[in-house]
Amino acid sequence: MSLLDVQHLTKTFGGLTAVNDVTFQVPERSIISVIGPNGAGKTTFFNLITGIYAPDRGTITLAGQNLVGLRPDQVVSAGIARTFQNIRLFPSMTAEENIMLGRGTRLKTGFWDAVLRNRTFHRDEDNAHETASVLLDFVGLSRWRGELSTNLPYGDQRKLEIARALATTPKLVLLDEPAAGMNPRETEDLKALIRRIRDDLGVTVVLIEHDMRLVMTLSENITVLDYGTKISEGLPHQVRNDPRVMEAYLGRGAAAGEYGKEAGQNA
Amino acid sequence: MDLQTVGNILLQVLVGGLSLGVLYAIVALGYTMVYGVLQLINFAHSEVFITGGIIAYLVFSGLQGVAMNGYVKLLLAGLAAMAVSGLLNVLIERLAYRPLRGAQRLVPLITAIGVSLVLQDLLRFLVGLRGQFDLSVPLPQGFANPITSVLGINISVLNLQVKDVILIVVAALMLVGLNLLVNHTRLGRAIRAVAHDRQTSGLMGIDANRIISLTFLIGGALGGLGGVMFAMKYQALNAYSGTVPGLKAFTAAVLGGIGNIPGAVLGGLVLGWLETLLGVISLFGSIPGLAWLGAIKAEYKDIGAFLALILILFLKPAGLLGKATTEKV
Amino acid sequence: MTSLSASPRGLGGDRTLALLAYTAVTALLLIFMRGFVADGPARLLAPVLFGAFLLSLLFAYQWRAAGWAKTLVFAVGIGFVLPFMGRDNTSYFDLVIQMLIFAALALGLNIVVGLAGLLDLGYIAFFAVGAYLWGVFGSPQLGAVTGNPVFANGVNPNLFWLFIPLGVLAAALVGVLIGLPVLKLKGDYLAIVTLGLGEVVRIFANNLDVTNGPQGITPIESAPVPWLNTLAQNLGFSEDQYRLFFLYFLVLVVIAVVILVNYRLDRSKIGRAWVAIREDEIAAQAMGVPLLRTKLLAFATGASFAGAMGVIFAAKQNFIDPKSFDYFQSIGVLSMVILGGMGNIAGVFLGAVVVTLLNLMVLPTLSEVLQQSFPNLNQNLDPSKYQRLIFGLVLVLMMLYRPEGLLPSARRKAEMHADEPAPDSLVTQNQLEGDTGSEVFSPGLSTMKENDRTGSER
Repeated sequence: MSLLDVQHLTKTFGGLTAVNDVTFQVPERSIISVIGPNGAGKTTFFNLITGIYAPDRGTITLAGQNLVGLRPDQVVSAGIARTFQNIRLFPSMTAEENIMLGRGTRLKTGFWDAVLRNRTFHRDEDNAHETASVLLDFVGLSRWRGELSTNLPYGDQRKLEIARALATTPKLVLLDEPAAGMNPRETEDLKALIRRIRDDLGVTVVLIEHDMRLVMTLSENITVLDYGTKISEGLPHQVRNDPRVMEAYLGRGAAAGEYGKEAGQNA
Repeated sequence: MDLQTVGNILLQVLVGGLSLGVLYAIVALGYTMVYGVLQLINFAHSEVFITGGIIAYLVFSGLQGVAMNGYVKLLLAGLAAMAVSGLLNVLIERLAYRPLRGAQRLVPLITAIGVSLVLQDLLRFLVGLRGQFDLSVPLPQGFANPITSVLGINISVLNLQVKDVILIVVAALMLVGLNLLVNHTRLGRAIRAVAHDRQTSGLMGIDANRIISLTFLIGGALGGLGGVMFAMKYQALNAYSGTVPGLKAFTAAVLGGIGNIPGAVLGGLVLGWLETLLGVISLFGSIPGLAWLGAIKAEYKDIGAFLALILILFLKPAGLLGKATTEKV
Repeated sequence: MTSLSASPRGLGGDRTLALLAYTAVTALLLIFMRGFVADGPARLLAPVLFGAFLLSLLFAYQWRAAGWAKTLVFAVGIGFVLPFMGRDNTSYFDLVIQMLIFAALALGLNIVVGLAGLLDLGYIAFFAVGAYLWGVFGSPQLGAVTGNPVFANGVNPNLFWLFIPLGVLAAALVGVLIGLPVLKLKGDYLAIVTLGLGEVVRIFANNLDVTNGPQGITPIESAPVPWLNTLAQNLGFSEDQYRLFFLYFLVLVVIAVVILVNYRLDRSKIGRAWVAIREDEIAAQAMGVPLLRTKLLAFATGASFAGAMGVIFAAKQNFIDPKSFDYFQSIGVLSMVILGGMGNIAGVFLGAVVVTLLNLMVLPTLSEVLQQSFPNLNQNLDPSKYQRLIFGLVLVLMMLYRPEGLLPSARRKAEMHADEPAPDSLVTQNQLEGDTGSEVFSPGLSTMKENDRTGSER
């Protein structure tokens, strides 16, 4: 049974349909990629799942629980965490504090607990510190623990954002272009990290990515969006050889040429 | 209270609210244009506006004994006020806002509040050099004359004076002119481009700083004219008088949809009528069944504006004519 | 002032001796020069001496020094020097209490503006709620309103103790009621609406019968504390100082609670959530922070501090009227927060002390001295009339040159300078987008359609 089940999702802005009747399923403990040219509606798709936008039509369920109509923070509680394409860490917080903030959704501390510093408060703070320490270690950023997040190198900021998302103990994590701006070596690290997220933590991963090498070697399944519509879906090699995908990326003429060349080679 | 009286009061509200509404509209345009290009509430606009009122006072009282057509005096006052207020606004932008471009959103906002306070005391100081605080503005000859009939129809019930008609006509001319400027000139197109996306407009060869300065100039000049209108309407002002009407004008801008020129006009009119109506609504308390209206003191008319603001932001956050856009994530 | 900012805690060597020496010198100067600075142009020195002494308390907090020395400075300063000066000259008492009241207000606003990043320009309304609550119940006004002769002097003055928590509750409740509709708005809309609501509260106070309109309410009771009065009498205080003697210690206790609550909230899940909202609402919400609830909590907490101090303020002033609660007062509290350093307790405290000293001591003294020396001076030049100018300059200059305040919090400093070009151009780009990425209503000046498609993918 699929963990995330999206049916006929549609979102229109003004006269423009950003996401058009997309159906999308994510099996538990899988790594799925969503690809597509710029402006294909991928980030809007993430924003719909995480409750930032409300869909016009369609259903979204996580392990059977309806997500449509929930606020973003409620979606986090339900078990979906995300990262952003343009990194959105809290610059004045340290690496550790960023993760502790992410942990907040699983903590019970209320106003009086914080003011009175009672047992709940101490248990929660210990829990948050522990989570931060484990996750910093997990993504390999322990040395940055007390450093302001804004001072981290770019690639490490991306990793910290992933750690912050993991701190919410998600069932599913959505990564929006995690490899953007990374050099090949960092991308290799990232690939290993994403695998470990799935294998060691048992968290399902969906990523939007433009780095095709990463996508093709990492994903178990790929969904391709273009102009808000799902144009292809399948195993990496299936998607790679789908003429509709090439057309979307390269334009009709180029795709035909490419396709023809390939056909010629086959012949 | 008979039907005739009720009708007369409502007619007066309609006309009185119109002259107040166009005043708010003219001032609101300054807020709305600046907000359009910088996404900043220019708190100092209320002082830029009242500076125009003070200029009107200086011109009218300076020319008081001079035998000169009242409309010429008005023209002089209007031009002087527009020039001074416009330049003042440009200066404020250069000194206080431009260095903060790209800073956190609260930073320029707090700066704007500070500039507003500084200007209040500077204006008070300048006015006080003449040993005065409250200024009473003399009107040019004939401006206060009542208009009793138009085309033979008796309209004395409207309590209309010549100056009210002047206010409405001048404001209408300005609004039409501004609309032409923004929608049908190169400058207008550049302003719209900068409002839409400053960075991209820069890439398209538009000097955003120059356009922002010009926007402050135009907005400030309109504010100055609003000040002249204020001085004519109330004939009394001081250096601190700009705050409350400024706040209401901003409310008008939000009411109509911030950044939206027709919206500012609509918002101003709605607010003008609302306020004028609230000011006299207690009169209707003598109507059987409406006794509770008698408890609404005229002083509460200011509350009406703010409650309208909250209501509109709650129900239709983009304002009456604005359209909401979704956030970029 | 540079020495202030250049001495963060824990840096530099041990300054125990310096602290003790500085405190001793300034305290002795303050005490023994008090006669000399009481009259004539020498009065101008009075604020200098007083300010210099108050700095010792700040140094005791900031400097690295032995714990016993810090405790000693605080104990002697708060327990002896300030009350001693108050006994000698009641206006010092009044000033110090006023400073502490404003410090509590500033700390409350600090939660709202400094931590949660919500610009509230009508904050003084919550102060008004507390003040009028006790003002009406603790004065003959209650008898006048109810027409009941039992309340000819208000309720039993002992109920003052009950009204402090009631003031907290009432202000918090008003905070939630105002906050519910308002806190859905973004930054600058929030500012203008809170400004409007603050004015609404003032207009009501100015026109309602319950508040006695512009005439205000007087006399307002304070709790009778016979044993403290006896103590004050034995210490040589005059009878008209008993109330201030009591309120001084009460305000100290309340402010200690305020600081504790402020500090503990800041360093908890709640404080982290506030900071996250301030820096990036979208990211905060996407990380599980419930926006409205967290903002309401900031609003209500900030309001409750003001409510408690409002009750005490009414008792201290013995008289309240709507003028004490106008927009200008809200701005005054804001400038204290800005001057000292948003988000930092010590900074905000410093801001409150400096601004209050300036307003209630420096400017009036300057005015009086000038008028005595130059009786024909233009009224227009009276320095005490330039509060707006000073508040305005504080706001503008701080924002332009030192937005993090005189005593910045480490966190705030990082944030305020986050926009400076980072080595990696991508990072800078992201921050630019983050800054403009708040809820922007379509600037209707543009006829072009917002391109949502590319917009959402950017």
